[in-house]
Amino acid sequence: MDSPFRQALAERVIVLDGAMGTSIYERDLDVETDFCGCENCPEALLLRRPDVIEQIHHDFLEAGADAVETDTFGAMKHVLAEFDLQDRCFELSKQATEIARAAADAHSTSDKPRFVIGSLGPGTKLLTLGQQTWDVMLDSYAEAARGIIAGGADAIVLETCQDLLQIKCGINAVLKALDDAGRTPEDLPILVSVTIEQTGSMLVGSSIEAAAAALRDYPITSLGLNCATGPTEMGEYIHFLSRRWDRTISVVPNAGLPALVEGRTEYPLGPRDFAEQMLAFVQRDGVGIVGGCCGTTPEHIRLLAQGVADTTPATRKVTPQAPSCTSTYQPVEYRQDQSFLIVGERCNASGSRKFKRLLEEEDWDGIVSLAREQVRAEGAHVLDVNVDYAGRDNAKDMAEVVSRLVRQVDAPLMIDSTQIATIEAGLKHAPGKCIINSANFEDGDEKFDQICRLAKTYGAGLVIGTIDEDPEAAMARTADRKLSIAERAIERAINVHGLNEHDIFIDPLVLPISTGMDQDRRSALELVEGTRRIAEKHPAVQLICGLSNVSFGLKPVARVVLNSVLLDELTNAGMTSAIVHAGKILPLARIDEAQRLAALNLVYDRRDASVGGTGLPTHDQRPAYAEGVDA
Amino acid sequence: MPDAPTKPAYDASFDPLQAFIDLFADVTSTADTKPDRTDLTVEERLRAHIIDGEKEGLSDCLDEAMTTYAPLEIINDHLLDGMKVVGELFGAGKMQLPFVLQSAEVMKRAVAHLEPHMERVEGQTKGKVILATVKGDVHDIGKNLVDIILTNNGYTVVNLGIKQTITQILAAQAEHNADAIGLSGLLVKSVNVMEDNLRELNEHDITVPVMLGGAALSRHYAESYLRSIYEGSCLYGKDAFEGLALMDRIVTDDLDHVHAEIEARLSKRAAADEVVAKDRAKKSASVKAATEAPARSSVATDVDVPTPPFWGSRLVEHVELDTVYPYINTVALFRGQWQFKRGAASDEEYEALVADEVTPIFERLKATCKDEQLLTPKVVYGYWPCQSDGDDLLIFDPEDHDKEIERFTFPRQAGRKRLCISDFFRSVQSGQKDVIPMHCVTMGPRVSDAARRLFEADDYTEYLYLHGMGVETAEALAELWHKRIRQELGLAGEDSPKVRELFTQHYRGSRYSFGYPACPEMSDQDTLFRLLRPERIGCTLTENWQIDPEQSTSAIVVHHPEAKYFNV
Repeated sequence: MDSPFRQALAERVIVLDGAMGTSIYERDLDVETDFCGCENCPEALLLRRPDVIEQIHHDFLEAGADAVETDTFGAMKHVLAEFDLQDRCFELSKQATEIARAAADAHSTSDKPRFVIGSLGPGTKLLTLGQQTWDVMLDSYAEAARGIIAGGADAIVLETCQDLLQIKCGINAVLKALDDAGRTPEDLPILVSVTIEQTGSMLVGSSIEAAAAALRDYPITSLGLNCATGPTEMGEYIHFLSRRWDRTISVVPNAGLPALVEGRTEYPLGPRDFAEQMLAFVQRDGVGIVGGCCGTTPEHIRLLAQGVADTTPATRKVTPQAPSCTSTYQPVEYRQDQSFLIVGERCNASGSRKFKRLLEEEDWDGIVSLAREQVRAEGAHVLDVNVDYAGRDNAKDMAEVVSRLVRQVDAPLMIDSTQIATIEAGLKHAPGKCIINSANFEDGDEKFDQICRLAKTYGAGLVIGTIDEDPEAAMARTADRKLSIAERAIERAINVHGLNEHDIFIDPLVLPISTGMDQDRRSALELVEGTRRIAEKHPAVQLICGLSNVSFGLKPVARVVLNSVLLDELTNAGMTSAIVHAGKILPLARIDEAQRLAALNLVYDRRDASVGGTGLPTHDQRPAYAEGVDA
Repeated sequence: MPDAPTKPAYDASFDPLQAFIDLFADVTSTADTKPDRTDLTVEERLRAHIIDGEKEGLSDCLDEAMTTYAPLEIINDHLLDGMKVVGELFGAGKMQLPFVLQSAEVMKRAVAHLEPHMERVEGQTKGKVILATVKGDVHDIGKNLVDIILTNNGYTVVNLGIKQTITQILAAQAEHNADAIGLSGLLVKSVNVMEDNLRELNEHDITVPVMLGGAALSRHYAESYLRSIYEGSCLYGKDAFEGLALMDRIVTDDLDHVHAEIEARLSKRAAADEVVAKDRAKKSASVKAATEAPARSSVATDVDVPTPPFWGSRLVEHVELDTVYPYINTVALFRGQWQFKRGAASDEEYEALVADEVTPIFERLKATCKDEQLLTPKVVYGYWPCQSDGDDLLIFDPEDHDKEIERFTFPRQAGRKRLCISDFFRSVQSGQKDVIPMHCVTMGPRVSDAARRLFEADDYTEYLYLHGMGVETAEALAELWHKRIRQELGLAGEDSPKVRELFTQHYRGSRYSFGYPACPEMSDQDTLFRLLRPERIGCTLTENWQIDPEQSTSAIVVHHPEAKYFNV
C-alpha cells in the first residue's frame, strides 16, 4: 500500500519549504540562553526554544509549502556527540518531528494535505575518507531515524549528501529503523538528495552519473540535488536525471551562488528569479519535488508554490542507464562496445607474486601503483582485489587496500574472497558500486544466501561460480552442469534475494587444458559450449571467466596465445567479461596464424575420434609449417 | 613464422597439446614485443631523447656520445637533428606544444651537460637576435617560445621582455649588434606600434632583418604593407619554428629565396583580391539600388529596463577560487593557451590525451594556485543610469540621474545592419533612462611573478601552463561576474544551464571589452576606470590602456536581448 505522500507525488509536484539554517541564523538568538551553549547546533534549539522552529514551519506552510523538513539535519548520534547531546538523539529527533507534524496538521486541508519529511544531513564526518566507520555511522543514523519515525514523519530525506558510502550507510540505517518499527519504504518513503559542488561532482568526487548508477538498486523513492549552487548550475545534472532516472526527481537549490560583497555573504537570486528558474525544471525536466535550500525565504516559497499550481510538468521519457558498476567517480558499463569488460587480475595475493610481496611489506603505495598501472597502461575497466593470504588478517588487509584504491584509482572494484568477513570489510569501504567475487553452492544454500544478502545491502553486482554441493563433481566440468547450476543460481538470486538479473555474473569456470590428462582435454570446449547455452537462455545475465587458468603450466609466451585465442572464442559465444592480465591479451590480428590454428586445435580437442577427441583437424585447420612433408 | 618445428602426424597419435607446445619450443616472445631503446645506436638514442622529451638516461647517453664526438658535433649533428624532427612534427600538427617544450627542456639540459666540456671559442653561436614585445603590450608567451626554440637551436637570444619602447630596442641593437630583431605583440594596437618602430629604424639607418609575429598580425598585412615600409628585410613568422627557419636564412645571408616566396604569395593574393573586388562591387551596387542605408539599426527600442540592486560601484574583495574554476573555458585553455591541438588525432585519441595528460595538469594547477594563493580573484562592478544619443552613450551620476558624468562614442557599422552599441539603450528622445553595468576583474599580480620565475628557471612547460591558467581564470571570473550581474538584474532565467554554452553567449545580452571589434577604442578604458576605480583592486592602466597586472579584464555589459558580438 503506497503512503499518502507517494500518492501525492504521483499526482502533482510537491513544494518543500525553504532554508531552515538561514532562517534560524537570521533571528537574533543567543548562544547561551537559546542554544543552551551549543553554537551551530540547530537541534539544541529544541530544548528551550521549540517555538522558533515551530514559527519557521508555520511561515513556510503559510507561504504554501506542501511539506516541511524537520529540524533534525544534524540529529544523528555522532553529530550530537560534538555537543554532548548523543544520549538525546532519539528524543530530539522525535520531538522535532512532532513539532513539524503539529504545524503541518494545523495547515492541512483535504484539498491540500501537508507532509512532514524527516531530514538527515551528511553529518560532519566523511566515511570514504576514513573519518568514521560504517558501523558507528549506521548505528547513529538508525537512532535518529527511529526518532523521526516515532514522531510521525511521512518520509525521510537523506540530504546534502557528499559521499556515496555515507548514502549507502544512511539508507541501510533507515531501512533498519523502518524494519524495527514494522514499517517499509513503501509506506514511509526514503528520498535521497546529493550535493553536486561547483566542481561538477560530489565533495568526495562522484559524478551524478555514478551516484545514479550506484543508488538505482536501493528502494528509494526519489533522487535529486540540493545545496551548494543555484538552479542554473544544477541544470545539466537535473537534465541528466530527467532522461535517465526512472523515479521522482527533486531539486532544492540555494538562492544562487553566494559571494562576499562589501563584507557580507549575499545570495543573488530574488524570489521572482528563483521561482522562474525552478518552474523551468518542472516544465522542461518534469521534476516532482521542488524546494529551497540556503538563502531561500518564505517569499521564495510563496512564489514557487503559486507558480507550481499553474505549471504543467513535462512528461518525461526515461531511458535508464545501462547496467553498470562504478568507481568512486564514474560508472563503467557492464557491457563494453567492441570489447569485453576487462577485470584486471593482478591485485590478487594468490595470483600475483608482486602483489603478494607488496602486501607482505604493507607497501600500500606500491599496491596503488600496481592498480593504476592496470587501468592506465593495460586498459583494465574493473580491478579484482583479492587479499586472501593465510596467516594475515585478511579483513583488515581488504579494508586497507580498498580504502586506498577507491580514492586513488578511478576504476570500479571486484571484491574477491572466499570469506564473507573479508568481502564485507571491503564493501564497507567502497563508495561506488562494486562486484562481489563470488558466491557458489559448494557449501549449500546458506553461504550462497549470505553473500547474496551482502550484494543487496551494499548494492553490488555478484559473480556466481558454477559449483555445487555434489561431493564428487563439485566444479561443473560439462556444459550441461554449467547451465543447470547457473539456472539454479539465477533463480535463487532473483526470486529469493531480489537481485537484478543484469547484476548477476555467471562464471562457468575455466579449467586447465594444459595438463595432458584425459579428464581435462574437453575443458575448454565444454566451457565455450556452456557459455553459449547460458548466454542464449539468459541474455540479460553477465558472463565472466578467470581466463588464465586454461593455460596453467605452459610457458609464458604460449599462455598469451592460448589465453587470447580462447577469449576470442568465448566472447563470440557470449562471454561479456574476463578477469585477465590485460597487458597479456593480444588481438587476433597480432597472433601468428600457425600459433592461432594450433591453439584452436587444442581448445576444441581435435584428437582422433578413436582416442576420444572431436576428430582430427581438417586441412584448413592445420597450421602451415616452414618445411617438411607429411610424416 | 616460428623456427621450423617438426610437423605433427595427423593420425590417432596426434595430440593438439603436444603440437601446440612444440610450436613454441623456440619462441621466446610474441610478435608484439616493443623495440628496446638499448638496441639503438648512440646517435639514434640522442635523437630519441630529444624527440620523446625523455630526460631519464640522458646524461649517460651524452657521456657515451662524447667518447666518439666533440660536444659541438653532438649538438649540431644529432641533438639539433632531433629538434628539427620535433619542429616538423609540430608543424604537421602531430605533436602538441607541451611535448615540444619538454623536448626543448631536454635540449637545454643536454647543452648544459655538454657545456663544461666545450672549448670556449668564438663562433659557437649560430647568430644573435634581439626579441621584444612592443610598447604598451604585456603579452609575451609567443615571444618567449621563440626565445626557447632559437636558444636551443644554437642562437644567442637577447630577450628584452615586454613593453619595450623603440629607444630601448635601439639601445640593445647598438650594444649587441644583433643579426636580426624580432618584434611581437598580441594587441591590434601593437600592429601600429610595429609600424612606428619600423619607421624609427629607418630613421636611424638600421637595416638588419626584422621578424614580426604575434596574434595581432596577419601574414598578409606584414608581408605587404609593413614590409613595404622598412628599408631592410621585414619578415613574418607565424610561429617559433618559422622564426627558426628565418633565422637560419638570415645568418647564411640567404634571404633571396624567402623574398621570392613572399612575392609569389603577394601576386597570388592580388589576383584573388581582384576577383573578390569585382564581385563585391556588383553586389553592393545592387544593394544600394534597393535601399539607402538607415541612420540607425532596427534593434528593438521597447525592451524592459531591468532594475539594478544598487547604483554606482561596489568592491568585491574576495571570491572563492572554487567558485571561479568551473567557469574556466577548458577548450580555450587546453587548445588555445596550452596548445594541445587536436591535429590529426581522432576524437578518441584526443579525448584520451585530454584525460590522461591534460586534465591531471589542470587539476594540479588548480590546487597549486589555490594553496599558494597565486590567484587572488577580486572584482569591482557597478550600475549606472544611461541614455543613447545617436552613436554616443551618456552616463549619468548614480546619485543624480539627470547629471551627465561621462560619455562613450561607439562606432557604427557602415553597411549591414548599421549596428552600434549605443542602439541597445533607451535614447534621449525616449525620455527614459536605461542601465549599463560594468566590471573589472583581476587575478592579482602574484601569478605573473610566479610565471616569470618559472621562465627564468628554464621551466618552460610549467611557465606555459601557469601563464595560460592565469589568463583563462581571469576570463572565467569575468564570465562568472557577468552571470552575477544578470542574476542581480533578474535576467539570468535565459542562461543556458550548461556552463560551457555561456562561453558562446548562450544568455541574454552581451559583454563587450574595449579593443574588440564592436568597441575598438582602447582609450575608453580611461572612462571606465574613472567610473569603476579599479585601483581599489590593484589594477592600473599602461600607457596603451592595457590593464596591469596582465591577468585582468574589464567590460561593459549590455542587457538588450539583441546585443551579441558584431564587427564594425
